[in-house]
Amino acid sequence: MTSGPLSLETLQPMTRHILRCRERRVAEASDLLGLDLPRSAYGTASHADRHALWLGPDEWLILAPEPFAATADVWAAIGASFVEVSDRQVALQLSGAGADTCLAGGCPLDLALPAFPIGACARTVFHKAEIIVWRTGSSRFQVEIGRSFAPYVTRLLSQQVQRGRSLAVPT
Amino acid sequence: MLLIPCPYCGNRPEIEFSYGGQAHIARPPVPEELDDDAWGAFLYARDNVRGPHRERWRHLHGCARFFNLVRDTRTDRIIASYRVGTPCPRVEPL
Ligand SMILES: [Zn+2]
Repeated sequence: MTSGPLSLETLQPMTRHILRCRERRVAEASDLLGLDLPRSAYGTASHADRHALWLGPDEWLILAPEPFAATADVWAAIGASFVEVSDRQVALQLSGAGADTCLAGGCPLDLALPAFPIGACARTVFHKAEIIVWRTGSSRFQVEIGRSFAPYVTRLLSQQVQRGRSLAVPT
Repeated sequence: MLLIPCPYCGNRPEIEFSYGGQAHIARPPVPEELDDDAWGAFLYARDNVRGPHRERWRHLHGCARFFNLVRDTRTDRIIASYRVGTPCPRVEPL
């Protein structure tokens, strides 16, 4: 498996929404979004470049490159709330050989592929900051961070990346 | 570190959770009808169990849900985990 050198980059701004919706209205919410909302822990679903990440039994993070149209009334009609939080978070992408080990330096989840496969997502912690971690490849992670925690997480992660690079075995 | 079984997420590291004290304490429906002793007991008196203890936890840095655990206070062994609104599973006396 080729996975390239370890790297950390800040992703482009994107549209983020938090969907809160009761279980019995999940099917309707899925229709509005045009994807099947995941219903269990670690679940994610994607359609084209729109993604839904399970955060809790009634909470999802919806990611999309562009703003999209559904209005507040449409959501209110099914008793759901759909709140834009695009600027609340910033996203980092950590990729390359040993990305999982780097992240594990501050994240207590089991990030081994069998326990946390491609597509898995969880809200958890990185050192003292809350993060949302989403595995987008076997050695690629998207890390969503509250904006005010971004310098803290970025600094700690880039230290791990430097250390990881210096330890890397040439292939 | 303890692994705590969240009823929604499965086993997760303890540092994602916050503790919420003894479970199944019903708030008096009409607090102003209580005398000071009864109100004080509701606010402060807890069982302080030695053994299986039913307690509330919140998976704060995870799914963010409250749920209940039965934990043995002598050993930290977790005996059961169940959702708010569901009855406590029968726990054998240890
Ligand atoms: Zn949970």
